[in-house]
Amino acid sequence: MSMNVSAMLKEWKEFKVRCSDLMPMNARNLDVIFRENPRASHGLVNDKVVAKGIMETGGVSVPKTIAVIENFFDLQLLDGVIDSNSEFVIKPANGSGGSGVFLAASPAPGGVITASGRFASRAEIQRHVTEILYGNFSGNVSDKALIEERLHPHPLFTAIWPVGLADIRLIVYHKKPVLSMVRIPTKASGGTANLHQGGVGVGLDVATGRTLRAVCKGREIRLHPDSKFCLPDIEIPNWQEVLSTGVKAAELFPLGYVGVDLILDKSGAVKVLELNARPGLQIQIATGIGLRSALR
Amino acid sequence: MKPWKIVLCAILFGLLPTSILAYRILGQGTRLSSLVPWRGWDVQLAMQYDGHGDSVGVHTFLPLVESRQHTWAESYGGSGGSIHPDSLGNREFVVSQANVTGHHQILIQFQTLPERVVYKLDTGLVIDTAIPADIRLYLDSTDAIQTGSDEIRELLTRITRGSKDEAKVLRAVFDFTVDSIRYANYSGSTDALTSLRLGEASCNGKSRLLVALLRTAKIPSRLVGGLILNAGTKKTTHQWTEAWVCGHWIPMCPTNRYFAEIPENYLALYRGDMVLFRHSPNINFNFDWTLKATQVSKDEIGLAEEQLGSIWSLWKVFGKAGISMALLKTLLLVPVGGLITVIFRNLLGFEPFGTFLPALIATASGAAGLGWGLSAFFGVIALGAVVRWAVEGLKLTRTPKLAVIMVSVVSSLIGLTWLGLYWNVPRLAHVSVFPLVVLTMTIERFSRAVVEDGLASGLRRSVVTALAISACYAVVTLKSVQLVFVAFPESLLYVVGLNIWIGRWAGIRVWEYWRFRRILFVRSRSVV
Repeated sequence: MSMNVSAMLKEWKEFKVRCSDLMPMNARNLDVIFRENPRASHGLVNDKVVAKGIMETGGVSVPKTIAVIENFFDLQLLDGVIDSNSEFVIKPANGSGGSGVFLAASPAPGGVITASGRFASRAEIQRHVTEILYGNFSGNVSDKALIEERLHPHPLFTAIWPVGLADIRLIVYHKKPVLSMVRIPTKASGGTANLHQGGVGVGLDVATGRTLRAVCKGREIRLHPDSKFCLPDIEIPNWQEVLSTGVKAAELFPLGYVGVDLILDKSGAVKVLELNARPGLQIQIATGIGLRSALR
Repeated sequence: MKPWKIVLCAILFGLLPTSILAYRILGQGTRLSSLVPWRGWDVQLAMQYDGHGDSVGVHTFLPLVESRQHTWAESYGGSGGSIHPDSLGNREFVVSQANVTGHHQILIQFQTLPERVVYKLDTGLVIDTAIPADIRLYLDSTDAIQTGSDEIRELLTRITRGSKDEAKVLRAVFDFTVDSIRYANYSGSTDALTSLRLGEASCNGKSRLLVALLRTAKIPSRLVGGLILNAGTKKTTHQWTEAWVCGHWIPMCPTNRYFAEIPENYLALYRGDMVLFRHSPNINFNFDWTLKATQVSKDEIGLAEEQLGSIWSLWKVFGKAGISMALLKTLLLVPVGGLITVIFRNLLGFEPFGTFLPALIATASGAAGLGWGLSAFFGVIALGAVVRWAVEGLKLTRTPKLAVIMVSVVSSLIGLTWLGLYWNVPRLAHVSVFPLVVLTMTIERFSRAVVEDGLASGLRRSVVTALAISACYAVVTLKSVQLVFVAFPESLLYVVGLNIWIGRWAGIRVWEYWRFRRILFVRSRSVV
């Protein structure tokens, strides 16, 4: 009897410890974002054009910018972009969650073939850019369209799942990498690695770059749902460069707590895709590690 | 938060409202009970008839205007009737039309709040012989009230034993009509003598006999016709009497044994020996009353007590500005609904669409009821989502797209009002006060949630939104909550305080225990 009570007490204490290790939404907003990330600095990372400018100046490698279309006058640049690039990506500078991203995969007469294999005419591309300029994807009154080189994922990631672009999310706190995961697309998520849309989150051991465990749609999994690739215990190549690039990028901004999204490209080069001043809490599920314990 | 900020907040949002409340309750003697609502009635009279090309006349009476029964929000739609006051103070409602064909309905609606009145009759008063000229007609004999007939006179002498004490005469005559005349549910009318001879009568016969006896005793008296208020639909109307004693009309109901008393569920419609409905022949006339109990706050009918300190008396300010009580309630209760939404988001972790949408929809649903409010809300959202989906194909930019969706929202709100009238569901008609900008934004948010996170996620958030609306509705329509905030608007400071507390709370939201269950509830496996 007394054994039971003490076992329950022990369990309760462990549960309380896990609760204090976990970073819930309220605590993230109050204790981390409010404290570490001054409101005025959010704009520096939210606007991808601004953020890229800062990173380029600071010597952090980023995807090559092909053009920035800031207004309707700039729309005339579009034809040149289509003519001289066989593949490219158009993004809203202030977009989030992958919405409004247009992927041109190969040239075609009168337009391009998109990554999903569909033909898109020049007029359609122009209309898409117009929508970006109007702020349809960013909730703003107006926005800029960022056109950059299309990146191809490292062979490791194409082996796991050949479609889309896997990225690495690294949480940097006070210039130290604290948590990390890889986001891998699935059939359900389409080209994006968005976890809300069914992408796989694979938690990493920050120190070694080895995968710990994987979650998909809130469930712990071992195999990629489509390719059945076994996900735990893989070593991410070039890991030390991933860490140093992520930290270097974060240091350029007056933010104590940043989510850095990195790409490991075909050749193994590390590039910073974007930064996030309010990174989500899902990384805790992917890694199984409470963010509060990681920040201590 | 720095200690001085905590102290400041505690003073502003804890101590300050508490002191104001204490001052008003202990110092000024403000009591909630002075605002506690009374049980009032929602009355609807539906009269129907068919025309065959001839002229049609329909006559009835609207409630008497007098201090014991407050009647307001009177409306008489349908067939263009008008009110004709008569010398007895009755308000006769007359519909008169030429060349009527087809089926017609006249709806008379009002809200009323009659009070119980009890009179104390002193014994020792002698029946007054100096009757003012305008009262003398209440001593007359008529075909149905055979004042002074031999049988009545004989009966009067027998039951009063020749007493001239007014109270004793009243009591004896009243007791006779109550006890010696059996109640029988006659549908037609019975005159006083027939009732006496039969030994049984309905309310009409009993009342006429009572009036005949009193008039014979030289006590002026008259019939009163009206309605007994109880919930439901009915055709039965009622008659009782009044006797003129020392310049006052004293009510007496021999049917239900109310002596010098009128209960709070008696609604007087007319005085005199009248019939409640008169109409042209052969029009297939039909009517029914529908009665619903409602809660009426006293201020709504201008009865709020002066004892409420005038600077605090918000409804007086609003009353002077000509703004309705309903709006005042909405203004005061939207922040309360907002607090419920905050609890949903920051304590429970469920995120409804829109920050204050649930509060606004809940308060706007107030008049329509939660069921209609929710159905209307989801109807508008569903229709708007379809319109948005259709418009999406046109590849419009954001603002024009929203403007188009807004047209669909306005149209569906107007459509709902029209449907409400068509189906005769007045409550549905009230949803047109829904905040349309908020609805438009919700359609956009819903559609975006569906596009970005999938249909399942959009539907899940819709369910959460419905729950939040229901929770807001449950709190905001609670009479006690309404009373507290209307009587003590300073309580809103507590709402601010609670919001500050929740806004500073860094704990785990209820939903997060589920979201992070695989981290929090791992057993016998240490966290890596």
